Amino acid sequence: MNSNHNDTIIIGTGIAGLTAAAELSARGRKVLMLEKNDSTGGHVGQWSVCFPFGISGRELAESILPQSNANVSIRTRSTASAISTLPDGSLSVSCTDGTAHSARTVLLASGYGMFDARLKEELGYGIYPGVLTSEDIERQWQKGERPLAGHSNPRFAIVHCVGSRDLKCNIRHCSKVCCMVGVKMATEIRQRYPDSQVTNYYMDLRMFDNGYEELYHDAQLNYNVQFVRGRISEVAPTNDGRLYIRAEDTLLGKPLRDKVDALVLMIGMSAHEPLHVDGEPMNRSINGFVGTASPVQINLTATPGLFVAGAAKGPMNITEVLADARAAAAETDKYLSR
Amino acid sequence: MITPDNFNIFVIPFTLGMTFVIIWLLATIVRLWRHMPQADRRRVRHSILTVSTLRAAGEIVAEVLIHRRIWKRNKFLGYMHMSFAFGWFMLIVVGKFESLTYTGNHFNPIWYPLFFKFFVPGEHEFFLSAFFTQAMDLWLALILSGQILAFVKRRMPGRTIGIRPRHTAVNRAALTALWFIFPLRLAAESVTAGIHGGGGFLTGTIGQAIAGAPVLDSLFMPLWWAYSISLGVFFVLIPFSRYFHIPVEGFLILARHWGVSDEATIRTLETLACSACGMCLRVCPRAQGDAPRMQPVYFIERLRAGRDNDNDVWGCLGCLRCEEVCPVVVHSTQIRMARKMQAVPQRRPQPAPAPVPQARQGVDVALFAGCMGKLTPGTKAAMNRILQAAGLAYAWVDEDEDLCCGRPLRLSGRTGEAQARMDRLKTALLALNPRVIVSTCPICYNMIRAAISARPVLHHTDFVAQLIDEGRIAVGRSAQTLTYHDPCELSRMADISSRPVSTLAKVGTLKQPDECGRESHCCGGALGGLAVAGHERTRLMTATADYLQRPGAQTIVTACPLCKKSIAQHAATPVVDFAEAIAKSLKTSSINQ
Amino acid sequence: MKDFGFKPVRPNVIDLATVQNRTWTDILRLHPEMRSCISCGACAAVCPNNNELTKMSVRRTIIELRHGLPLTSEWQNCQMCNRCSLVCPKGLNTRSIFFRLNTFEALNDHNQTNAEPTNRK
Repeated sequence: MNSNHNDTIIIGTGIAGLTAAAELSARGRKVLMLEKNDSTGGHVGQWSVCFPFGISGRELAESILPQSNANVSIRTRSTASAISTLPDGSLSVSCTDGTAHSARTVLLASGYGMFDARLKEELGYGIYPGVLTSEDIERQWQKGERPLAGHSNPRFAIVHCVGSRDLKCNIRHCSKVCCMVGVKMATEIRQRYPDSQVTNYYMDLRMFDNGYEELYHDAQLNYNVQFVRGRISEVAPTNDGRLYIRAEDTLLGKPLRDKVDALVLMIGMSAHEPLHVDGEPMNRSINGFVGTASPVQINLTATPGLFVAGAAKGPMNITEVLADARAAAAETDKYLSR
Repeated sequence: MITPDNFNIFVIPFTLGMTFVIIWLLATIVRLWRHMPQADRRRVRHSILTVSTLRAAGEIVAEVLIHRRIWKRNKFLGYMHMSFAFGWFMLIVVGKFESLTYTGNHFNPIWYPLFFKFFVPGEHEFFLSAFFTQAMDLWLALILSGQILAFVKRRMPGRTIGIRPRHTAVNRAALTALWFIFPLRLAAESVTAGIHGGGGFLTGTIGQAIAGAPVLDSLFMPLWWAYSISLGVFFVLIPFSRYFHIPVEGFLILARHWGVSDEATIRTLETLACSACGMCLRVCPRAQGDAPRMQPVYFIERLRAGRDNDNDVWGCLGCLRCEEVCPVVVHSTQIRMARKMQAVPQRRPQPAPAPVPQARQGVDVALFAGCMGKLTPGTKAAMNRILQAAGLAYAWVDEDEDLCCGRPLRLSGRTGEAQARMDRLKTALLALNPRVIVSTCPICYNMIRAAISARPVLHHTDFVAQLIDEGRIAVGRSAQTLTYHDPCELSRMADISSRPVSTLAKVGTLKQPDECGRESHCCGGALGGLAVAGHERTRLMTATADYLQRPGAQTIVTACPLCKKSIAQHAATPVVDFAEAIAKSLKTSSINQ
Repeated sequence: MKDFGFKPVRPNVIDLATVQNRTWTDILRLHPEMRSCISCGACAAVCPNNNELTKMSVRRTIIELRHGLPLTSEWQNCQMCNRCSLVCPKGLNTRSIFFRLNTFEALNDHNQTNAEPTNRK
């Protein structure tokens, strides 16, 4: 228990945790970061290209917090399992490896999990090699791999809303970013495979943030991406090793089928199991993610000194996470100054 | 011969009630007989004087009097039902012999044995008189002990017997009358013993204790009147209440043993033979939901009153858990089915739209995935691997065309159209000229095996088990733990439950929940239940997924595409089909032709 | 009214102000959840009767019922197979619509009120 010197413990080293750590250390606070994986950067750190910045996720994550920072120490392979309030009002975080760390405040920046696409079995993920998730593609590109290298004129189908807005999987929320990611990925594919055909299958296209609508426009105009309003609900293998897909063109009201080389599933964000705080699972908001104390206290949880930032609260895009993490850092700093 | 020695005006309420119920029962039986098809009537005539009648009699004793099936499930409830049925039966039989021995007259009036102690009070010496007196008290004591239990059950539901049914007004009235009968008999006979002496260990002892009390004389006639009236009221209410099961259940057992096959007759008898014991209350997956009470107890109660509702007919999932526990073996799902067919206009079947492709003829195995099977491609892929390992030629009959076994239409009450679908599937399957037909969907399996006899029809669990037994494929056992969920259509409907488990035991260690096999839970996705809303299904699926995760196995295995989809999307534990579990454990060097 | 030599046919416009959707109201009474359909078309994609031979569309039927339009989709072909319900992201019991349509007496009214002129289609 040498960590009493820390002002705050940040759970998670994705872009939310890194941003908050950078802010707090700039304000002279000592920060301990707990990361369950081997390396920092979270989901974004594995993205090959981040919209609208045009840089890789790794670059983006590294630009947030310089590697050597005297005020920040990072413990990787440390999975927080529970939080408890100590008699003096500070908080203790216990990890699955048996260690415990305490500080006056804790910032939960544990992000989200990716939807397990195998649960939508009819889409054939894990059964047919041609079915990939958005995460798979981003990781392969990030590593410099080139899936479907051998195909000439490869046909791609991109399925939106897999594991979002799906009550069959007990998921009601919209994951917000996948619309943009799906369109960005379509343009990406067209750039990497100039002879390819890409069709996006969507229920609704929600191009809500700055630059999204422009991206959509660009995808149609300059990349010739097709958009079909319909949901692919059945996938079968063809004799020549491709994928036979069935949807309905709902705008025309006609059944639609295609044979594609790859089916890319835009998997949504799902909430982690809630951490236990003082023996009770944390409050959840309507979407199942971490709930906050009030409509105004958007970074404080029901427990004093326990803050939350980023996509742990629900689906967010990178810009929103950066802003939210800074706000959480400011709140934490204010709390520590009391 | 009616004399003052064997008649008193107070016997009239009982006699009227008794006569009424006998006439009603006979009328019911005659009506059923007259509506029965010729073939069945002939069957009955030929069977009456055969051993099947004896077998039926044995079952009547075991089920109607002793209530063996209830005992097996619930000792408390079994004792309660047995004490009333067997006790009362013995009271009647022994009473008959008592009065017969005393008078030496075979044709005592119908009320005489019941009110024997009124007409022959005090102690009398006749053949076996002491035995009769004590025996009659014993049966009365047996009934009263059951009644005390019944009272406890009503007052403290949940402590002893689980849930109890809530009955309609006429059933409550009949129950009240029934509950008055035996305490009143005890009181009347005890008061009689108090005045005139005699009586057995129960009535005699009470009689001695109260002997000499000044009120006895003024209680004497009112108690015998009350006893007779309560009997009369109860008998009059019998045909309109659940107690009609008492006389009808025997006829149901006889009809079954005599081989009556007419749907309408059997379903009518079953409807009347439901004793509303409440065994089906707990097992119904919809019991905890927001649906109005719709278990067979309530459905049949409403059906008898002609007030069954939309949810009774269309809200049942058809999982058969209720039939599994029913002590009378009432096929309530079939009764609901009959109601469905009445509710839906029967259309002419449509002709098959297209010719069946004849390209892939002469395969070893014709496989059928079914409508749902197309949405679980993992199962198909696993079957392909297994069949390739076994070196068998196979074809999926519904690879290019959507074929249907017709069950969904059947469950919607449209049997004619369902038959047309089945005919088409049958043509397609037989056109492949396979050695064996295998379905990966238990629903389709049940339909196909009923329709095709020219080829062996197997569910893929049986088929794969056979491949392993014959050494065509070899599997390796690993340290994995598995929980097998029995699909309703496979375990309860097709009685296939032990073989999948013993086969899975060859690839891993099984951790089964308490209720499995024929008692497995409903996955919530069952094909019946057309009126079940999505959120209600989600509730059922979550509950079953939670239940199956309790043993803590690494993988949940099932053998039905509907079960798989229902459970997988609500369980944190991965859910695979039986074929996938086997395919994963295939030894690659196992190809053994 | 002056005879111009032709009869006005039913306009090619959905006039929500005059819509009579009694069948839809009846269905909603029994299955209120149907309101939350978002017309994604997953149901129609997996429907075994939405192909070259038959043109049944679950999604289209729902919209037509909602708008009180004549049912152009060949819904009578529904074989109740449950696939539409299995893939519905809103968890709706979609096939119950076809099962209800089959039983509703109200359907006759529906078709009369919304009778299609013979010269269309």
